[in-house]
Amino acid sequence: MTTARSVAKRGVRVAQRISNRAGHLPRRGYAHCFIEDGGVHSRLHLHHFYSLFLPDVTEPVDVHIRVYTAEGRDLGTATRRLAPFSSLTLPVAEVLAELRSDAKLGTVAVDVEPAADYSRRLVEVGPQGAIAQSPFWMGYYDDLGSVAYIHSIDQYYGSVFGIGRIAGLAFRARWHRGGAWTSKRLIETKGLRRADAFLVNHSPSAGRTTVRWLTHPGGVTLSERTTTVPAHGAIRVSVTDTDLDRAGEAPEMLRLEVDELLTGNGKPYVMVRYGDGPFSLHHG
Amino acid sequence: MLIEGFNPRYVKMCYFATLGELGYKTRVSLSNGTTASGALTDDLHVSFEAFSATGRRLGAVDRFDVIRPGGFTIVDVEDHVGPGRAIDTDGADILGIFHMTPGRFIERDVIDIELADIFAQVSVSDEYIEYYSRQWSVAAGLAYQSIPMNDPRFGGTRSTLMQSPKLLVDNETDTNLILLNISTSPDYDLEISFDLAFIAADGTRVANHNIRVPAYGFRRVSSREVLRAAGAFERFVQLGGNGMVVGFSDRGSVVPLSITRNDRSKGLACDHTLPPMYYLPWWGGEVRKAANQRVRELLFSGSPVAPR
Repeated sequence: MTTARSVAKRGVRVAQRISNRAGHLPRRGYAHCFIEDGGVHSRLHLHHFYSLFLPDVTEPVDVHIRVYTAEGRDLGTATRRLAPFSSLTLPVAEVLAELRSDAKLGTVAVDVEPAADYSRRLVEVGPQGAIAQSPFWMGYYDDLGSVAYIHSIDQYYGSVFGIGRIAGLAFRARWHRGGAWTSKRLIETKGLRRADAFLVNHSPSAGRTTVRWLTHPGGVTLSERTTTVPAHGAIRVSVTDTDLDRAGEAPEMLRLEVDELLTGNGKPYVMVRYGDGPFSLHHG
Repeated sequence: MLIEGFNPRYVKMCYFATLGELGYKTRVSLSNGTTASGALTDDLHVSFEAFSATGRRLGAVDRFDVIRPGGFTIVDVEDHVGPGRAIDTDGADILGIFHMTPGRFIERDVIDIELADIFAQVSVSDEYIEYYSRQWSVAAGLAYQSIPMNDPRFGGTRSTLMQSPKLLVDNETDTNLILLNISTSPDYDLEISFDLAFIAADGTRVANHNIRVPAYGFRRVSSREVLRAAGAFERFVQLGGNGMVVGFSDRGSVVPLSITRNDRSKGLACDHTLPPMYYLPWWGGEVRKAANQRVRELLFSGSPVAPR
């Protein structure tokens, strides 16, 4: 590690110690894309993970779910309580109804707040500056039997939970734009009906980028969108069998490119459909 | 940490299990994520080897492709293994390993390499494992990095605590756990005993199951079959048909993958799990050992976990 980085890291530790003299447990959330459109539904897979780290503490956790529209508008927060070792498969439609929204695309950020006994104990046994994080899975499904789930691909940046606003500045995760990215997955075009890329901006700052579907190995652009994605917003960029037909000589494969990931690991979600079959979804 | 006498074929791997028993073929997207300006820039020479579910080495395919920096390829596993293929088998599912050996190591049987350099090479790219069926118009998969596992030369303790809150089971849905026992040491022979606890959404533990995963082998566990065998299927469905499965081994690292299938559409949800450090980045040492011991006592002994 360079001297400058070492000094910076030490500085952060000092700031954390000074700002958190009360010894709270700071928490970082994670965010996901939700889809409630075209028959596709989303659901959160949540669980009381503190049970598996401190199984002798038998208190509940409160799961706070903050919802944003694709345009980055904060719709509010829903909360669910989970008992030890319990889990919850929570439809996004239920959360949207609670928040009186009919958003079709957006993001959800999850913070799992443990009872005080968990925080106190983890601060006791953890190192100086110990934090907790709340990754979770998002599921996608439809009435035709499609099923998919995906783990958190990046954090919910800009906020830290469980600690005061000033102290939060010392504990917040640093984020950066992720630069150019290209999918490592090649998508077969034979029988492909459509492919959708969903790009989330996990950061607290709007960012401009281009998402592009290309033939492989030819590198011909089939579909492309350049736009500014609001903080905590999301966009969809699709390619269909019609686009493939327009490409002339049928390409064998497709791949996806993003000129600038909006956070370091903010890779797009990729949904594909072949023929009349179910969709699948994974992270790029 | 310098690893001496390391087989360079294990520097960058892609390991997986096929899913033919459920009706799917397997293809894998491999890539060379190194860039012209990077320190690791090199060609990757692709070879392949296959093992049975019990860990018996079935054969290998020597270098058959070279991926240039920034390049991609996609490989159908059935092109290399199966009846009449280079690795001639009866068509049963296999554990496969694609080795992507950097060109600078290609003529060497063993190398001395820093552990950090192995991880640097691994982290350059994910590989995408795809299960597909043209008959059912299905193509689904997952991307992950095949990290080094179960190699005593790397030090540390080897244990697994799996928490997978995406257990979906009902009359038309089953969640299969695919458990791989992989190593970067050719001499590795540890069979791992892996305990599973199936927990309904309300926190009720409804079933336990132990599975033994041979070295270089794999196991597929149907959650529906486990629940039925335990007489807990109807109850699990009544409690919502969703919940969590927890897996634990204190001796050996298992790669746990979760594949949920809808019987009607044949659609698949595929993903890996997240290790404890994703929840508590500092988790480890004696604190972790003590907690794991309590989890073992609570979830894998006779005393039930009461719903609250």
